[in-house]
Amino acid sequence: GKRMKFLIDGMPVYFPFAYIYPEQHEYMVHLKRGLDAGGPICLEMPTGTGKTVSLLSLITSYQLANPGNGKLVYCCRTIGEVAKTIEELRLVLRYRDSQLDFPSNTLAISLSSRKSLCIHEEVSQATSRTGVDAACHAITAPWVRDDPNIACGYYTGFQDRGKDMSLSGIYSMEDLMELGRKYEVCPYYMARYCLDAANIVVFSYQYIIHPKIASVTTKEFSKNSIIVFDEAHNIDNVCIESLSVFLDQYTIYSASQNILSLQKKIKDSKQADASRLQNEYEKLLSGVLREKGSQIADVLVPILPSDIINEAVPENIRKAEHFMIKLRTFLDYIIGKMRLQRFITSTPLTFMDGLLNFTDITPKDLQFFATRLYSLMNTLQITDLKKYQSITSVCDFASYVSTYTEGFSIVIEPYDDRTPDIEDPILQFACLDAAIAMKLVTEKYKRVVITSGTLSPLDMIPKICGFEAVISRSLTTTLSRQNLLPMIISSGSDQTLLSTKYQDRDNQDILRNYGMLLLDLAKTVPDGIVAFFTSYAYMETTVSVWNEMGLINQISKHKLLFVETSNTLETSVALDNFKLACDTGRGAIFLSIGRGKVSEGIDFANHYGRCVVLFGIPYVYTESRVLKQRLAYLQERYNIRDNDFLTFDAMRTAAQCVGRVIRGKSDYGIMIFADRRYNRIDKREKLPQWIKQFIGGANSNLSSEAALSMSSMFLREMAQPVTRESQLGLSLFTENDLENRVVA
Amino acid sequence: MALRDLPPNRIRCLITALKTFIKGFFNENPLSQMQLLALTSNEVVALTSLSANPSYHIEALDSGNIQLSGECSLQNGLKYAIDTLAHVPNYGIKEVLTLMGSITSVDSGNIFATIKRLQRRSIKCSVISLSAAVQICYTLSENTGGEYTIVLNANHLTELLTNHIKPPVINNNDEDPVATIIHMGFPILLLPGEPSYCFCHQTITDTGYLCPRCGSKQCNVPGDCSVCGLTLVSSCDLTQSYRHLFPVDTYTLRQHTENGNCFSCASLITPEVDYRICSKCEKQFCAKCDVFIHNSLGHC
Repeated sequence: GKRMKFLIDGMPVYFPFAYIYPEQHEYMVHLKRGLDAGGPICLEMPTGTGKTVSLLSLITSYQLANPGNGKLVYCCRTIGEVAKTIEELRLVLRYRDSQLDFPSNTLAISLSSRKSLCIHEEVSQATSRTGVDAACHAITAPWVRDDPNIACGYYTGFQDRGKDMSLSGIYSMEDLMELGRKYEVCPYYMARYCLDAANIVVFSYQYIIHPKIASVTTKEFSKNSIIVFDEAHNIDNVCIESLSVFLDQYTIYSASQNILSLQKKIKDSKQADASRLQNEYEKLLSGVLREKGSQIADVLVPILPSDIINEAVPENIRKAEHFMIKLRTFLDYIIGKMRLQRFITSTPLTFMDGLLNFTDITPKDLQFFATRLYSLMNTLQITDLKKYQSITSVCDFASYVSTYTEGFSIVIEPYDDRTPDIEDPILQFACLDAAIAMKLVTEKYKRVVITSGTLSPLDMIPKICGFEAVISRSLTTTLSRQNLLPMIISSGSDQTLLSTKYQDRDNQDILRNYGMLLLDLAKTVPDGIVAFFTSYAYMETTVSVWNEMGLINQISKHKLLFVETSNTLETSVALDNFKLACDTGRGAIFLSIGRGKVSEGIDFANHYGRCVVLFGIPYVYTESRVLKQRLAYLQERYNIRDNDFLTFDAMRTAAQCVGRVIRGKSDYGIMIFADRRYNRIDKREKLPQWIKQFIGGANSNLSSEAALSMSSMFLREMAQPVTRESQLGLSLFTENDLENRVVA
Repeated sequence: MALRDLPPNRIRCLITALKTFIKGFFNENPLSQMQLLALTSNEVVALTSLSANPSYHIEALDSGNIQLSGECSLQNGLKYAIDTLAHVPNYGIKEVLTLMGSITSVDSGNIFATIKRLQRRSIKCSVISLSAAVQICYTLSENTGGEYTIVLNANHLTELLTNHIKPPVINNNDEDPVATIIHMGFPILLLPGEPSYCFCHQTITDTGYLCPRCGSKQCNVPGDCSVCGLTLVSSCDLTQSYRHLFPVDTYTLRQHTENGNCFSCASLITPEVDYRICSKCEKQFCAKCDVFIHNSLGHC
């Protein structure tokens, strides 16, 4: 069919559709200006408005107009999103290249873990990600690569043929696997090998944000590459998690077992081939930490400042046996701390002070633990990486705690607050500052695009991630009809004020009114309803109270009830049945958690989600000690008040939850905020513009009856047929409409 | 169905609209038959049996004992309809129109299998919802060639029902050869004056129609002769139905160079006005006659 080619500030943009939404055009204009200005960009645009295609089509056109501009690195959250993005990219590039007089020779590559790319008959059968990694390592490690009996045929194929294949075109994960089968080359190593040559790379956040992973995969990316983070509303949490270490009783126990088995291996190896350990010792002495040419490292080592990495490993851990003793001492120290039966929070500095007081381990030693372990495992030719994961975590912790002094906290909890009788000690090395990981990205690449359907308030993410956006915009949809109905319900049918405030948690009146509201919705709203609770605990109490009141019985006359659990498999079965119930007209309600899997990754498009209801405000669990540390840090470092951050975090979660039901322009849905606290300006103001614009006096502070009668009117109106003609020129533009359009 | 969103309440509003619909339906489709089913408390209640008599259906609606409450099963209703329509010969157009008050359909079996059966039997299913759009109704109507609409208010309900009165056009391309010849008789009307025995009511009556095959007297046409089973229709009924099934093709617009006359009314067509031409008989018609032929006469 017909496609579009138009100019933005003089640059031709190739857009693979005949019609464009006004907000897509606006989005591209801002993106272009941001790229020209050469800095981080924050753009918010509702889902279902073709955000991805706008991004891709502008940036690929931009690459064309400015050759020498580095890669487009597109980061998604899930494998599913990677696949979807590649398909859209195919559409965009096919049109762009059809308009060119010369071949563009573009190479677009998607990368994922071995788990999703492996085509080896046995290795690919492993069920977990770490399982595949370990099995792969066993047949591709440097010391088995040359043994034809053990080495993976696909890996050898990659070494022999893959490196000489000059790929061009677009490779999804499926394409890579097909290519791998056809030429007997490993798709995973092929993809990683091609990263540097590719013009466009699509993969998950980790490859850029996680300093450890980034140091081996994306180190060579040019500085003027354009980095896009899609669905980036939680990017601060991704940053924090990438630098945090979590040790529980099991990790500690198996780390201790790991040391024993390493010691045994050292002993065996000494008897069999003493020279090997001696060689290693000498290598460490001369300061060669990583072997040259091992560009594709298999064991990931935490990134350390470059001045450290060039130093030689300290003397007292150079010998394998000595290192083992130090490691044992360190582990025992941690175990001792965890067994204290006390809540401990300390900074890395005080932790190391204590360590130095009780043991002879210096911070310098600690810094090298991770690299030293890596070297040892290579020397001992250990292939089962999965088995040694625990000791790896402990060494990571050692290296982090001695490297980073600011913005981290060590939290030790002897038991879970909810079950004080059960001893279950955990140690968390928590990163409190998202800017530490984020800065590694923004300082290297500069042109970083942060985009999502829910980024509001727009100044928060840049502030806590430590960068300044040159352009930050919140775009709304232009609609020929209002296809979403947000409503704030503050009182139930008997005028009880609704809230999930801590004091009101057990208030039976509120629980009954919430139940009545859900029952009435079940009667009014067709097909699927999604209900979000603030926590598992709250959902459990609520549902059991509803059951006692007989409400569950009444609700299930109208709709079937499904529940999200912490078990992923269970939840996905529940989701399948939920969808079936919606398809057959039985109707269903999905009860889920504000911060669960459903609220983030699952879409309830069209009839699967005609209504979403939030019971209460999804605040994060505020009693968490790690969170308290983070709040204190944010206050001190960025001058962000506790309450501001908590509200910001709660409202972005709320926006994510309600955003689940609108997945496109033809979709429509009701969003119910059932808590009177949503009426406050500080909460409402933090919602994305595309939701906020519809919340006026008529939709806020409602009683449940008023809300229901509005819903029923809304549903009737939305069910009327729409024509393309009614949208043209208003919410749908053609090439001609764009010619004279000026975006402010 | 007792909700008051359609005044005075849904049931009353629906019955009023349905009565208009039934009258209109038999007026336009005198040869058709209809059955009313009620889906209530998880069962299917046949309010009437398959009949071509509008007053029979209207009486059933007026009887005042229509219960519409509890759960409804769309699948049960459709299955019942399939059974009823199973005896309808292939040349007939089979349609199911569902008026849904509920937004929930509680089925015991697989409704998708039922939809497949409907598809195989080419039964067209349309749905009018009284409250909100339910996905299964889209699935049903899209797969069987029907329409799914949602009511905004009482007037809209009447309007939507009216849209269902006109039968679909028969597609000549896939004509069923079995259906080419149907036995039908044009009965002879007896004028009042000479009372005679009526075979359908088995009493002596004043007027009636004589079956051209066996000569027995019937009271109403259209209908089947109660003695020999011949389908009795009046020629007016036949034309009435025929014009919907085989509508006159749209005329093409032409501009005249010289004066001409309308074939139908013989009025003068000057070069300043458009005239229309029939693609079959290639005769000229004026604008007025075009409207008359297409909207009222139904015959070129």
